[in-house]
Amino acid sequence: MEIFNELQKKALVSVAIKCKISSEINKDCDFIIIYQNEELTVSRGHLHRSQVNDFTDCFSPMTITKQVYEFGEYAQKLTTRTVDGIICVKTNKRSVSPVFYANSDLLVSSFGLNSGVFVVSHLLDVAPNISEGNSTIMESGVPFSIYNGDRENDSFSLIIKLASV
Amino acid sequence: MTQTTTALDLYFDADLILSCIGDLLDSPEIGRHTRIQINHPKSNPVIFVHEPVAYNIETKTFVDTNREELVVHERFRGTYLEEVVNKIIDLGKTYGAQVTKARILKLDPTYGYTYHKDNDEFRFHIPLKTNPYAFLMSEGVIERMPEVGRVYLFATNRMHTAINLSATQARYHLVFDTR
Repeated sequence: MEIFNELQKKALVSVAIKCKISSEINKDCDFIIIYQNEELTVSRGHLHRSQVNDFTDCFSPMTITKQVYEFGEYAQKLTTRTVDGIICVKTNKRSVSPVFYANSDLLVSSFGLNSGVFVVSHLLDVAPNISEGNSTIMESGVPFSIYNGDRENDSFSLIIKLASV
Repeated sequence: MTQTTTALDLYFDADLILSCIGDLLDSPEIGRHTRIQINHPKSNPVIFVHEPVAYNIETKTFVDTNREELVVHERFRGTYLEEVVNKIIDLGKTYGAQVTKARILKLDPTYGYTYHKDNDEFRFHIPLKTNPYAFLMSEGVIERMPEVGRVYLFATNRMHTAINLSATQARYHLVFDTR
């Protein structure tokens, strides 16, 4: 997993730099999703809190940066599944992201200074800890949220859409 | 204690409790971190508390240092809610614990508390309003308190939080601290 963590960290840093996250994010926003749209320009979208969000169409070709591409390639090797796309979700400290899901399995992981980042779902009995490079696979259609329980640090998570087997 | 959540065979009338709280739940003073105190330190008869107790960043623990005697707020004296408080105080004694603060904790939609410990070993919870998307999480395990009016015992001396993923409904629990 060390390689996974290292590539993940590089990918997140590259996304952060490319999107100038630190300067562009609305500080009042609890979360942000970053992906590449069909026109191959970096886009940002705020999720809707009023509903469960289907993010099937948000996943893009994983070409935001070389580092993200390399991370995706490694995830592909690790899971032996084709990677369809990748998004980055920033979850502010002491926050939960909105609930979302996609129509295929998702590899969810996080990297940051905190240890209190979990994937939570009312349908599950266990909340996988995805802090510090840990990852989990959420099955197709299962709605979930990223919970960042840290009081000091925001978290960045990468969500990889895995093609159906 | 090894279990995190224990459902006790003890029930109260959640609607009656809520009627004792009345319009306080809709008060503009109620913010994300506001608690309604059912009892309060004798010298400080406030009903709304906006500031959390001290937080130890190293141990990730909320520490309540108040040792002053607590009395039921005058608004609730002689009500069903005072009866509930007294019964939970008696219940605490059967567990060898002193029940201290009694509070209404509101958990807003799409919100979660800090991942933390408390300096008491356990607390009693009575859900007053809840929904399928509201739960507690203790060391990675999802813990549910689905029955309104039922008394649950929850271990608070391990890392835990409460999360409400509902987009629209707040969760209200009547919570009793112990020591």
